[in-house]
Amino acid sequence: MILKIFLFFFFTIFSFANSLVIDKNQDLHLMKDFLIYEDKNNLSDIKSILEDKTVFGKVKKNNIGIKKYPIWTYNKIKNTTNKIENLIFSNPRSGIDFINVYITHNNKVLDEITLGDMVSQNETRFIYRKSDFALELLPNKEYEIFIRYKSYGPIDLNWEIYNKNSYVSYISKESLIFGFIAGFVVLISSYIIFIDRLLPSMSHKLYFVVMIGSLSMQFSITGILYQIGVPIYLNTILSWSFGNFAAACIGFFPIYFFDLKKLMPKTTLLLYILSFILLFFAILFLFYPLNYDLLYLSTIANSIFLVVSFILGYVSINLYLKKIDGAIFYLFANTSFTIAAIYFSLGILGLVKADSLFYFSLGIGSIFNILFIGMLIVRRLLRIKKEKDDALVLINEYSKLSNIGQSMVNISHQWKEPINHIYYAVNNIIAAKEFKDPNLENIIDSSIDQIKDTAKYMTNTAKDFLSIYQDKTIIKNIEITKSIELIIDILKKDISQMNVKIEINSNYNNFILADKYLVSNVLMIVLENSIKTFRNRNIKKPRIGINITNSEKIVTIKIADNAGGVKEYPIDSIFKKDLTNSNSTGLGLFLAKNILTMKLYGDISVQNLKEGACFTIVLKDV
Amino acid sequence: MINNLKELNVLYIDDDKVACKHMETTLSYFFKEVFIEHNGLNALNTYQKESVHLLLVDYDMPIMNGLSFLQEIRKLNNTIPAVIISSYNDKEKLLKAIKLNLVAYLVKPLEFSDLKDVLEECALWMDKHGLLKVNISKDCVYDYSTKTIRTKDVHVALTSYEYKIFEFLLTNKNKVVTFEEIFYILDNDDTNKKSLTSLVYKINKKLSSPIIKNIKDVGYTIVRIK
Repeated sequence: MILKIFLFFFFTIFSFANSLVIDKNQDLHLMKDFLIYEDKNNLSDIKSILEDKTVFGKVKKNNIGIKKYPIWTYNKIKNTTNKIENLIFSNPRSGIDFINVYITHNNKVLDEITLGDMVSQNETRFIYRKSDFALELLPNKEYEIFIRYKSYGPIDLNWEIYNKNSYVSYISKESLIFGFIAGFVVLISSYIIFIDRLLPSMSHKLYFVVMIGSLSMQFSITGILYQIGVPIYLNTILSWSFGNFAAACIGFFPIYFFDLKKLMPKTTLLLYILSFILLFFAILFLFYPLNYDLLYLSTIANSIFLVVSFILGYVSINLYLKKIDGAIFYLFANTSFTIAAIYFSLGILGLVKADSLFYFSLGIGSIFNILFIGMLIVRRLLRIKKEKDDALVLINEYSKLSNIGQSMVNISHQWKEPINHIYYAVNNIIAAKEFKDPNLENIIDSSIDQIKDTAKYMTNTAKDFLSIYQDKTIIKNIEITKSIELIIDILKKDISQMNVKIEINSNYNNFILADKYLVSNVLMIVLENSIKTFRNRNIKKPRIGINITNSEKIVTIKIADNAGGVKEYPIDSIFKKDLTNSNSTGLGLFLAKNILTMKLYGDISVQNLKEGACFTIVLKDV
Repeated sequence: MINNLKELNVLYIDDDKVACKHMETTLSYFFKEVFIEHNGLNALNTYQKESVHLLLVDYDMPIMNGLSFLQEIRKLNNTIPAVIISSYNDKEKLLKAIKLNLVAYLVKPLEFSDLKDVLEECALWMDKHGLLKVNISKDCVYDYSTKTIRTKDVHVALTSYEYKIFEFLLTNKNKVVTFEEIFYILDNDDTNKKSLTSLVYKINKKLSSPIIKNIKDVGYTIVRIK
């Protein structure tokens, strides 16, 4: 701010003439008061200029935008002090492509300096990001300075004049700022790469491109890349191509992040088209050495980007009004960036003063944009985490419910036969009564005995089942072989009916410290799955092989069947919730996986062997 | 109508032995004889050996299930009344069973009244398909339930060998029955071709017109019945 007031002060003092008087040792002057000549036919050189200075006219504005022809300026500088003044002239618009400075005295050229973004470093004297030159002013001597500008980007006629000391401190402050920006962007970029590895998403990738693209564009525009000696071609495309590439990605970002197609289909289409045009320009500018005039098309690209900024502003307001989660961050991001982009575009088009605010506008806008979008992504991540936590709770509830449901299914399945038996016995009594059987008494007695036995059997099976599906945690040392035998006993009706041969192969002491009921539950699910598959596929000689191995604190149970194997692809999808075929209760294997991974510190996997599927269950000591 | 079953035999097939024990008693009130089998394959054997008039079949059984069993039966006999009993009200099973021309599809648990209704339906079915009585000629009827041949004024009962042969020929009335097949159903080592000839002769004599025809060196067939 102080700097601006300072600049303004100088601007007002020296606005009346094209002569700058250096009368005392000051930190900063502004060379603003000059005459201008637009060389529309590109015919003049310094000789013809010196011969006829009347071509120069008054300056209307300092930021003259993009011009296809060279611009000449003319002004005088006078040292009225008694000592030699060493001054450094610095044009803050670093992107000007060719600058020729002629220092003359009495119509004689004392010095000629070549500067500019497209001039290789060997030809310039200062290796600095901006177009700078040094001038030694002898006491009480007046110099004339003629400067020729030619650029594909906007031209700015301002020159800041520093004395040597203040110049050095200015440069070091500046590098600090750029270093900070670079570090910030690199940090966020690596963060976003990390996030994208965990949660792959198109919007993360776009965000990454936006950051890297706008960073490289910033660094190119501000001349940092030029200063560190990046080849001219690369430096040019980094600002022209990468900038537009980033701009396109800024347009694409909300489409993917907010799934904009559903919310605003027409706007999405428009954004798509405009962003693709920007992408086209980005690619086009890669080929600028074929025809330098291609670079003049950037005016169109900039206008399009300005439109994109407006649309994004509209989109973010719309999203905010629709109360989309995180839209407020996107609104902030876009507002800050749109303001910056508008300011920058106006600057490029030569409509506003190209002051330091202009040079940093895109950078500042980008930083805010990146910052807010970063917050948006973090917010989305936090929401995903919350959803996951909620889902975990839901799974727990779900598994409880499903356990109840599963036990109901199993109990009713187990009870089918005994219920039939009771009916048969009752039928028998009714028939004997109806046909007046002389043996009625005996028939009733034997039927009652049988009904009693059956009822007892039913009570026991229900108890067995409920013990497995109990909703309490009892962690104790359990022997896997025993657990499996219990399950086989519970399922014995199915096993014997289908004539399933089960073979268990195990070490003697396969003990593990775990929740007894959960382990039984998982084993039950896997064995039932095999039996169901036998039935569904009508397997002739069904076999199940169970192999238990244990090392210290880990038990591995392999359950293999000959039911033909898992037909789903990918094979692991059988552990997913949505895989339900008509003959299963649906949640079985999904539940097994969840119980194992979330509650038992274990895991389950499946592979296809020659004859069928092989489930591998790994259990660890709790 | 259900009383007509009293002279007939039923074959009940179920792998559940407790169910079989009860059903044997229950069915014995309705039928003359109750045959029990625990799987389709053995049942097929029994069906061929014994004189079976009605089939009650459980769907789910080891070795050969109810469906396959009835598919085999339908190849041999398209009219014998058959009932499937299943524990599941399963659409797919029901659809498969449709082709089998069943009297009923019963779902477990089985209620006595349902069983009775189905047996009544079976009797009606048998009557409809002429399985209780067969018109042999204009004024001659064979009654399955009493194993008698009735003409206008005479009732002649057939002996057990006679009716076994006669019913077998009736069931296969459109084809030639070989000697071996007849020996097999009689399940009697004593029977030879000679005694068979005399048995057939006796049946023909009991009928008003001789409708059993000898096909030389092959077997017997029944002359087309009107």
